Amino acid sequence: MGCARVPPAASGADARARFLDTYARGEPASRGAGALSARRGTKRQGTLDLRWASSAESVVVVGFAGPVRALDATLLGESVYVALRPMDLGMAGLLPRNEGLGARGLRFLTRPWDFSSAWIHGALERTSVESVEKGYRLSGTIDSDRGTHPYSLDLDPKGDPKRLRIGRAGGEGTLIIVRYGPTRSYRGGRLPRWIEWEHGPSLLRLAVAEYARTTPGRLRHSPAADPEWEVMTLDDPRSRDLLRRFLGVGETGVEP
Amino acid sequence: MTGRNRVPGGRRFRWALALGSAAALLGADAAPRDEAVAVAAMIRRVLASPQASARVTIERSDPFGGPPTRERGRMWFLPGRGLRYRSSEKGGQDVVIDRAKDAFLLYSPQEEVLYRGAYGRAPARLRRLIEEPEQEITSKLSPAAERRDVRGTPREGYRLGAAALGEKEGKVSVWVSRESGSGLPRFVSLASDVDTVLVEFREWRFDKKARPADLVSSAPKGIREEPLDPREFLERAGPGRSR
Repeated sequence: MGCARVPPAASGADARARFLDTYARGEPASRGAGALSARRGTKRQGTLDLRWASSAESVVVVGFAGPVRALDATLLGESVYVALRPMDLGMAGLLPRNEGLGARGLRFLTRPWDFSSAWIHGALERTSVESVEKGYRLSGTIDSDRGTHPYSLDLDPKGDPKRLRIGRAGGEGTLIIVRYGPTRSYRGGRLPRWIEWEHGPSLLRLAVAEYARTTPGRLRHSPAADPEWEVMTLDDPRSRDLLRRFLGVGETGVEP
Repeated sequence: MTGRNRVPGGRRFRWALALGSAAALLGADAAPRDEAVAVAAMIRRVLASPQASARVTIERSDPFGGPPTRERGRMWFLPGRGLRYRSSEKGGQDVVIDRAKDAFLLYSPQEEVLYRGAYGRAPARLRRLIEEPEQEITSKLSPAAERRDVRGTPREGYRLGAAALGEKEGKVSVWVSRESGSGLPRFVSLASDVDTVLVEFREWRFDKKARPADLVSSAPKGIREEPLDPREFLERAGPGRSR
């Protein structure tokens, strides 16, 4: 097997076809590792050593701060559970349907390299393609319970993703921007070297160190909360405060 | 992906459990086997020493089957006074528990923040270890000889009763092994339903005089400080309000 370079796409349609062939096949059960760093405005907010695994509609994330297992997060369908272990604090509940992109949108955003969900795959197939500087732009709309969101996905000349912008329902302002680093081959397949999520003033950056296939049986969901933990519901104002403070959830969007 | 690093101290530090269990082994005079008694006697000098320190390597399992990760650092233990763990990794944390200064500090160089709490906010097990090392180590150890593979090498060691560490039986499996030459603790393994942590201790050092300066955090002066327990932060801010 050689390591032949992928030639540039011949056209926008070719770039989209390549993109869909690579990124919309459906991700098998996978696991990964990397470093997740957070920034809020100009303020650095530290780095977590991250491990994750996913299978179908389940995503499980474990974060370590130094030697400390600091974070457990599980997304199962529309149910989410987050444990901040050193704080003896947890948040649990069903994702609100009318917030952001809803559960399927959040599942996609946790793995923004997997465009296989019918919800977004269909939108990409219907999209218009235009040639832009150093690549192509796919533009269209996707639906959520809040309405119709405009989106644009920039591809490089080889058909790899560079930037995804999803607007707020109704088209006013930006809900989230996802940026993709150069693609490289991991044991589990091709994936960007890094991914950035920009939401309001919050910026998360995941530097991918490892990506591999796993079996669904390795998907260990978060262990039960200890009795002394305080577990808040997602609609508890303190949960909202934590999510807003740490992840920017509920913040006003940003313009690209 | 979700999450970030604003996760300061609390009651569930696995490394703290590991350090605590290693210290527990230091006085394992309740061990039923002669060898365990001999080891306990040999290393009791750690407790008699005004200050003990060691290099540590903390290895944790990947919960999803990937390769384990390692972090290196150093630990200082001043019986009666305090405990410190400082990571030697780039951007690694520095944790200090100082009874005399009523302080529980976690310095995060990556965040450029010093999290500060009172001594009473430190893990209860570690506070007991600092305040009452004898009582902490001589109760409920229930050691049982057990050989285990450590990085491909079989090692003799002892499985300890979880109750010795303040844990419920069956919740955490603790195993300790000593260095064959010095008889000092070498490996401590903690396995739970969450993950497995292996701590390796090397280059034990014993000082004739306690040096409280070793309990001073490496945080630069004037660095931003925040409360160690974010619940205090939430309570202060009030529900739903930003600070």
